[in-house]
Amino acid sequence: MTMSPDGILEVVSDIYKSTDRPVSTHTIAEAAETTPDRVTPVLNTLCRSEFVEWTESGVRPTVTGRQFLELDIELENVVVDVVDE
Amino acid sequence: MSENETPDWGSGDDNSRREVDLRDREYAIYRCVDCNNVVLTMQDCDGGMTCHGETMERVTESRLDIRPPDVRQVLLDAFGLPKPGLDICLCVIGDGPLSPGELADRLDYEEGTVRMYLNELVEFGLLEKTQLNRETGGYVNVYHSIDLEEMREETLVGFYTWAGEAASLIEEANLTKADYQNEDYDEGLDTVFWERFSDNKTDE
Repeated sequence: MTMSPDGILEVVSDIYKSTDRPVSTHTIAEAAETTPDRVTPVLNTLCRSEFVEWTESGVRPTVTGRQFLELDIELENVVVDVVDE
Repeated sequence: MSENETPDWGSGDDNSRREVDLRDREYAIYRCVDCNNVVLTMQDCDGGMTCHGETMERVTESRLDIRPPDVRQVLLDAFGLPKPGLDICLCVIGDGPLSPGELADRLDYEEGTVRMYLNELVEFGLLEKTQLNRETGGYVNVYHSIDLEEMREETLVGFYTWAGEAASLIEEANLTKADYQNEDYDEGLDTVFWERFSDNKTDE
């Protein structure tokens, strides 16, 4: 159902907010009504943009990811440039 | 003709001048039957256009042939936007999220070129840039396209502004010729003409 990167980021953020724990790909796939195989590449893309971070037990949204969700713009329409200090 | 179809310019080289049949274009030109006003509209105005209360006459032919515009040249001349800028702008719509490096690979440009144009497009107004915090220090720049409807209107208004400036130059050129006939100049019209426009450039 929610296979857009925005939808997946929102799912990760919502579940993390309610459980305060990293979210497994299985849980994300279930919430998005898809399979973990299809969710993983999207999560990897989100991870490269530093919107989520992989942990041993799943992914968690980063501060960057949460700030992005507040912008109300679609991830399909963005270029993300990670700049080191 | 639908919006997506390429106008049929007839035969001839791309750069050759040719006659345009104004009756089948998606735009329309109207002239006032009373004054010298000439207007361009991109919409079919139901009932036509009016000028000081009078219905304007639709222009159906141009006596001057024109060269068909090339979209790259138009964007470069009107907005100073070269092809790489346009390529990058197009890739930001619908293909993301991409990093500048991924965008550079996709378009076969240097990453530095992509970064330069991303910032130029922000300055120009077609992209917006938002800076987000990073947990490990530093920041994340998010470049995103402005609303497509807004982009459509802004680029059209921008182009009309440029076209208005160009039309003013053509008007001034015609007035210069008229002035020349009415005044007693020692120099030839060509000298007076180019001096007038070189003055304009200096004023800028």
